[in-house]
Amino acid sequence: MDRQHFQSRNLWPPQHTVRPRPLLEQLVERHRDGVQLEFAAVSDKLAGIIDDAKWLLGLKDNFDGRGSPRYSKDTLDRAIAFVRLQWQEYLRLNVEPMPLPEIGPGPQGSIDIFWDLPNLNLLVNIPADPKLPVEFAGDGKDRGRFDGTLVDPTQPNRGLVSWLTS
Amino acid sequence: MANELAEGPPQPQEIKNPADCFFRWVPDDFTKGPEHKLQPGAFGKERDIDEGISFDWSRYSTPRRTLERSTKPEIRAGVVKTTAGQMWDRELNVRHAPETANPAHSLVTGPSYTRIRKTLVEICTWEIELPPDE
Repeated sequence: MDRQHFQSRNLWPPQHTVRPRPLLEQLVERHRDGVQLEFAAVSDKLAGIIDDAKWLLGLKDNFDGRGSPRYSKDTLDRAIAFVRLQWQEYLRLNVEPMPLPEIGPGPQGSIDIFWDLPNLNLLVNIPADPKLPVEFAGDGKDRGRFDGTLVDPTQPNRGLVSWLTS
Repeated sequence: MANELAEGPPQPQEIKNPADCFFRWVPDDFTKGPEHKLQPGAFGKERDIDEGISFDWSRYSTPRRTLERSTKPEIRAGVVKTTAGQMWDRELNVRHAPETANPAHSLVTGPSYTRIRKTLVEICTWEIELPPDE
């Protein structure tokens, strides 16, 4: 047989040039896209509540008629930095966004950060005087109480973040 | 002479009945949203030196009197209520601490300032709602 003139022909060429991805891989990708979308949405909400909290700076001395002092930018900045730090730590530990707190007016120029969630709550108070301790109190369904003071509120707190992890 | 001796704050009375009510004024800035959700900041001490958080005992006050006594008319405010029993159930204490200007004055104390405020948010309900938004 003259092999020079022989050409092999594939009579059954493959129908797919690209191997179809397994179903599991597709599902994982869809989930990841969903989480990213959810993260982006919650991240926007975090920026929103931080922006909303700036209304506190508009309150003047004695705004309540009972002598409450105004809120300083320094106190608000410390409160916002605290929320952002815990947000980053929560994300690092859980790979999902942290539940969002409310940032509101506390007593005597302090600022309250309040997570009021269906299964737990946690109140953290950022005092006007940075030398005073940051006090917190929380309750959770089937989890008991979580009270104390933070040694260094300028650092992420794993215990607090774990408490917020449902 | 007897009248002169009778002046000054009344003597503190023991609070025994768990159904007794306690009122506190709350200005609008310490509420959130159109439904006026109570914020923990509503339960601040009047002064740092105070031993507890001020309420008015229903034996000597009404919600209306508490509102009128507590704040200026130009400040939008309402009155919230809780009972002695609700406080005792949540590890808070309440004692009568009458003042000359306010015989109903009482002080709520507890394990920590933050714990007291968070608990009060959970157990207080509106007795006189805030005036409607303008």
